[in-house]
Amino acid sequence: MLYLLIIKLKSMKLFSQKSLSLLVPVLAVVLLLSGCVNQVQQPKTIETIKIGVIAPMSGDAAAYGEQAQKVLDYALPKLNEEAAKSGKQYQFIYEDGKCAGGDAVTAYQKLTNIDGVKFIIGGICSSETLAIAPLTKDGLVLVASPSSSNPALEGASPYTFTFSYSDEITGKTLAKEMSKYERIAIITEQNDFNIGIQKVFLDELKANYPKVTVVANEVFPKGATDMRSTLEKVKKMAPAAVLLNPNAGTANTLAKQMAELKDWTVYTLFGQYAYISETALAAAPELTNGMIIVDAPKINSDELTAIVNEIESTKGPLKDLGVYYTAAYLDDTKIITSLINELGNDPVAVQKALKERTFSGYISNSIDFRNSSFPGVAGGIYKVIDGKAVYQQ
Amino acid sequence: MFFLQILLNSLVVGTQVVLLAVPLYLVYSSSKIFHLGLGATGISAAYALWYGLKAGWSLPMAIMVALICAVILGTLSFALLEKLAKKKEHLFGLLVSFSFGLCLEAIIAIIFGTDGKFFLTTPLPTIRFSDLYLTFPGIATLIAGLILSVLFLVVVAKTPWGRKMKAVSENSYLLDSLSFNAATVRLFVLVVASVLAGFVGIMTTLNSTLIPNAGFNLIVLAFIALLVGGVNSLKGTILSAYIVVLIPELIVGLSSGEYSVSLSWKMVIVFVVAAIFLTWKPNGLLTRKARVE
Repeated sequence: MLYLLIIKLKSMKLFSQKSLSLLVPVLAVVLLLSGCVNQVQQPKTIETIKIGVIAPMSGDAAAYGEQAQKVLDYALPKLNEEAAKSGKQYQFIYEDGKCAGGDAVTAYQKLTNIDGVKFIIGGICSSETLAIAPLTKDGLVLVASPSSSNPALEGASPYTFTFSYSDEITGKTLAKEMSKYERIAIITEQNDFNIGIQKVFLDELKANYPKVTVVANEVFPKGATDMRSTLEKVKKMAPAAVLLNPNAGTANTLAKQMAELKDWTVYTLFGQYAYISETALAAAPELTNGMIIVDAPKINSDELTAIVNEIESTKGPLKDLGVYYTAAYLDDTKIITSLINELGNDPVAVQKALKERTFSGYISNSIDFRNSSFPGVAGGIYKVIDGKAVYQQ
Repeated sequence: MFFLQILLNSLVVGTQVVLLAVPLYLVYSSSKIFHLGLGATGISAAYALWYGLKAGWSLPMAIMVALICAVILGTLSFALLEKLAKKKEHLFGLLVSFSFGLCLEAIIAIIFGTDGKFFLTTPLPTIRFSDLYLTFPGIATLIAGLILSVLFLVVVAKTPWGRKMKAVSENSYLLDSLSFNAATVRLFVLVVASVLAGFVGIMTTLNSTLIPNAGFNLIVLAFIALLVGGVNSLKGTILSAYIVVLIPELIVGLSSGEYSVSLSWKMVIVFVVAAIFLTWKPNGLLTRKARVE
């Protein structure tokens, strides 16, 4: 090749014989070096590492699973670009956890026994992650959930982590905000995530706000479609503030049926993550206007905003997943894959690194798992104004 | 007022169960098979209506499609259950109809997804009487329940058609010899039952949320009502449908404060109530003891 190039240049008479004799060794060195660089960048064998993803792909919370898949589809080429430097590439294998413990365990067993994965991103719902956490105790698999927030995850297994803020923060912040009222009520769906918030909320009120009376503490079955009797009971107790604590799939049904009780308006409405979505708020716009919501902290990052816009324009909306959990998915996959790139497909080594180091990401500049299964992120307070949850503090 | 409001809400739920218990009774009377697939049949018709409205069809057109869907599913049930009814394989018939229901739910979930759907995305319109209120679908359910209950009580007890329906399950060969076609009677009953189930499915989900397994709880309650009321008594079935629904609904609705019983306990109370009634009157609430010759 080099020989042909020299012949060509000679024939074109662009260079003198002397300058050509100088150019030849220079070109030879350059080509040799570029060959060496190529050898470093592209190793002969690429190791494909499978990473399991457990998320609700069907059921009430299916929207979260579908939107999570959009984020992961977006992130994968970038992760592989980085992984290629260390001779690796990643493949995500999705399994449906259906937001339920039993289905998550089935998904976990399929991923670990049949697909042979050693790392799992998921589940989304606390029920999923709580169910699979005990299975990871032997250190053969590491689970990193992007969004499970039940406080029971704290210490559930040394090999289970979550990038969500804890429901403990949500429960305590809600208790603090609602302690301004003497008579309060809480309506909870029978679901791990919601029961977790309810427990922290009630414990916090009992411990730190003894003047507050919980006049109604109602629980309805998971996925219930008619909560009118429950709402009548709460209305009868005339609370000054009501906390709606349903799961995402039931949030709009509960709000709609509450809005049918038109003569019951003298109360302040509080909610959690389920009401951050504009879809849920649109089910009963008059009722939810002014609602106080405790959810994830506000993330101010132009880079993240640009990524969210890009995903939404190319793959569809991320309305239900929201900005925080989109960021959590990006941070989760980036941190886990960077550690695998560095330490190999070894859950024990990656777990050790997670416990020893501090990481920077979109959700926080200081993601720290040293003393907790949670990343140490605080909650945020929002107020619903004109159908949108607007960040307050 | 609070008691009346809870009673009204409970009556709507009770009437939904009555409206599904009646077709369950009709199918049992003509074939001695508990057709547990009726709940899913009703929900399928509701999905057909929802799909039609979402696709921008006119209301009569969407209702027509839902009706056709119910008729097709009724005919399909007949094709599945007829041989078993003829051979008097009643337990096998129960299993087949249950599987038919599960299959329908799975197909709905695959086609439409499992997230909740709404006929109206905003709060339902309501009618108010002083401090009491009812949604439009709730009122329609109460009125339809009253009319249809009386109608079927009269048809079953006082007309030749009702007697024929009962006779076909007792001795279809004898009925055939009298030049009545037992299979036609059973086909007709299954189609009518499926259309009724479709009506209940639409009314129930119009009043709350449309999900693939919305018919399951209803059919379980209707089945319990049929057993408690007595499988051979329509009056008993209607009465027991209200009993097994109203008692738990009132216990949950009227308890409050420190001794509040949450909605999560409802099905537990339903089974306890059913167990008590079945122990007290194992042959049904209104069934008289028959003399064994």
